[in-house]
Amino acid sequence: MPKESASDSVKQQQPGFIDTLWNFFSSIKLTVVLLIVIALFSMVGTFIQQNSDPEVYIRLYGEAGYKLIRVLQLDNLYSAWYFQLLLALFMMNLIVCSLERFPSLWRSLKRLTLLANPDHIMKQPFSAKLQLAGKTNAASKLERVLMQSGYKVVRLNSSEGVFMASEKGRISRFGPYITHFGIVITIIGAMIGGVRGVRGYVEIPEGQLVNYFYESGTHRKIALPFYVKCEDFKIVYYDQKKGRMPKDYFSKLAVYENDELIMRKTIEVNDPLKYKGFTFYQANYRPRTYTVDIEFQIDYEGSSPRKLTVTYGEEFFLKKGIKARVVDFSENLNNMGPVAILEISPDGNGKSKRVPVFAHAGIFKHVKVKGIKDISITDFHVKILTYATGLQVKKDPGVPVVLVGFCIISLGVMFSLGIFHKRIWAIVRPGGDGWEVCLGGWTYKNRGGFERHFQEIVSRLQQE
Amino acid sequence: MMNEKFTTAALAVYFIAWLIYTISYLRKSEQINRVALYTAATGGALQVIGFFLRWYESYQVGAGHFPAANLYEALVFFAMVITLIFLVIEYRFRLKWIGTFVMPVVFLTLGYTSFLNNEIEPLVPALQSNWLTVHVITSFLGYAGFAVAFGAGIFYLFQEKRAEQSLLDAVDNTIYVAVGFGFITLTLGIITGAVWANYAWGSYWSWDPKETWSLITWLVYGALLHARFRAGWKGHRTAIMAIIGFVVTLFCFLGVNLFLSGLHSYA
Repeated sequence: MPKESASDSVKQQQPGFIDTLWNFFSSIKLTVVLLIVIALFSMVGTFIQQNSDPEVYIRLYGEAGYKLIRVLQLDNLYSAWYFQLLLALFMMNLIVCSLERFPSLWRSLKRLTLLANPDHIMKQPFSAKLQLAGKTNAASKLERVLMQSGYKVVRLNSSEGVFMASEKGRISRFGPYITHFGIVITIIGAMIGGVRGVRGYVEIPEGQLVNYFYESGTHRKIALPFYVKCEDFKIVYYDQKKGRMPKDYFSKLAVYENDELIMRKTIEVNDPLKYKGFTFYQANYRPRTYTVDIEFQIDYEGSSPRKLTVTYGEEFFLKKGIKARVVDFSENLNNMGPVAILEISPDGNGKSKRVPVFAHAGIFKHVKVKGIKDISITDFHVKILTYATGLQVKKDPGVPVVLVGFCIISLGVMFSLGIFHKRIWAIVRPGGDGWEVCLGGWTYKNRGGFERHFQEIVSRLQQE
Repeated sequence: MMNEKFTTAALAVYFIAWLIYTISYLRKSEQINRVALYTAATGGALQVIGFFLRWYESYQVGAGHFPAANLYEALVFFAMVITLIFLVIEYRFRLKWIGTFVMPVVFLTLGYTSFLNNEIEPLVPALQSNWLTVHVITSFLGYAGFAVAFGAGIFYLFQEKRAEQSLLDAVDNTIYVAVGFGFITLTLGIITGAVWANYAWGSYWSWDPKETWSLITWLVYGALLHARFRAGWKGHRTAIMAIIGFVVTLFCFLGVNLFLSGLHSYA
């Protein structure tokens, strides 16, 4: 048939295309190069700020530098096409290598073969020839010793003697492939998250409810299929004298759906609320309404000083006929302590001036206000009436897949590096006064550790 | 506080252990090496006492936490973990003299902490989780495994031209065992970190500098392991990779906190 011959001729013309590609991806050199190159690109991404505003880059690297960064997508490196391409190549390499190696490895490890020739046993990396006295069969003794140290033993009794093969830790040989499989699962989970997941932020004032949040990056408003209410927000401080260090932040949240209360939970940092695939994390807060009481000490010319507590925003009299108002304040400006900006109308004629007042006296001397020598702050008290809580919102259906991937990776790495595949062969024959035992040991990794282990087996055999 | 006294004493003992290791190395004496091992073990024991004391004392001052939450505590813990892992490996594999190259890492790390603020501070809200303990222990075991591999790598390069093959093979094997241990624990450290981040911040991976550098470290040692087992790299080249790997590890552990900003900048 013409069709078939055509496809045959194509195959013959390019016999090696798939093979070449396969060979390219099955190369261990490619693996090492990709690992190093991905590591290098990742480094670059940590030295250049990611996803910042253009002004930040212009300030740091200049206009030209910013243009270069934009062209090379260095400001969003981990999502850039070339980084994704590297990851894709890495995945291909990992999958092809595993597919290429695994079947032959499986075949070679499936069965444990006996070694019939004593020379083969004595040629193993570790070997010993022992002469054991006694009537009890040395083969059974050896079998017991091996089984006690966790070996799986295959034994063949024949007229020429007892042949034995044993191994343990075979799973370690599959460890790398289990790890690779786990990495693939994790990346699939990450891809599910990338396509179906969403992440954002919402601020809810105490007592209010929302049914939306803003997506990170795009700031798009995204609807929630339910309402979240912030019933209360509070900060708990450590019980310490110096400074007020926050111990934890709590938001009392309630979920409403179709005018019905579904659930209530007080979330804190490290303990989020979950509902319908969305998770709400305590991320931030903001004082929304507050009062500030500032206590001033006013030194008058001619009369004794007086202390006066005023509330931010409200008008008061510094002295008879002199109106003032706190128009701005800072609880602690550049670590100098509290600062208040006073707007003073010296003569009540509407022409006011603004003056900073500090915790220490002195500055005010440069400002001339009739009858007043100086003003300083003696106490500063902010009372927050209501807060708005800031919540991180996330929906990521890929998470369970990623978690499964993590478990598989952990197991794979522990198998491949924490367990060692060991094999011991033996031939036990009657000889001399009792038994002649040829013992040969082999290990895939960690020869140093095996040497001791092998000697232990030998000495236990001799002791018993 | 008492804990610092033990830590300071450990520093002195480590230094003495290093001197004894050096003498044992120069004179190729196994007896002296054994004395050095016991001295280092004494230092390790002092540090373990200091560590648990600090844990206890943190509760006494009302700031109870697993004591590895700021730079001082992290470095002290790091020095302790390196010592313990090194002692286990030295004892288990009957190694000699490598302490000459591992002990300096320990006492320099610990010595550096005397310049740091060692007050017990309460935990910021983000760190108040049991994940902190698991994450910190696994990550630090990883770092420490790589530190031991680094010491062994240096020792290998020093000995390459002089020592007999059997010793070099033993050192090469030590590098492998230490890297293998470090790789397992770093993997668990990264994964526990990711799981915690997912639970606490809603994202298991956000390319935060610390996360990224831990991945870089993982990739570098992954390359080392693949080069060793699939491309047959041994000896000299593995030793060099163990040294480069530790430089990357150190940047991940300290460089990120000193030079870059991110979620781990608590210290």
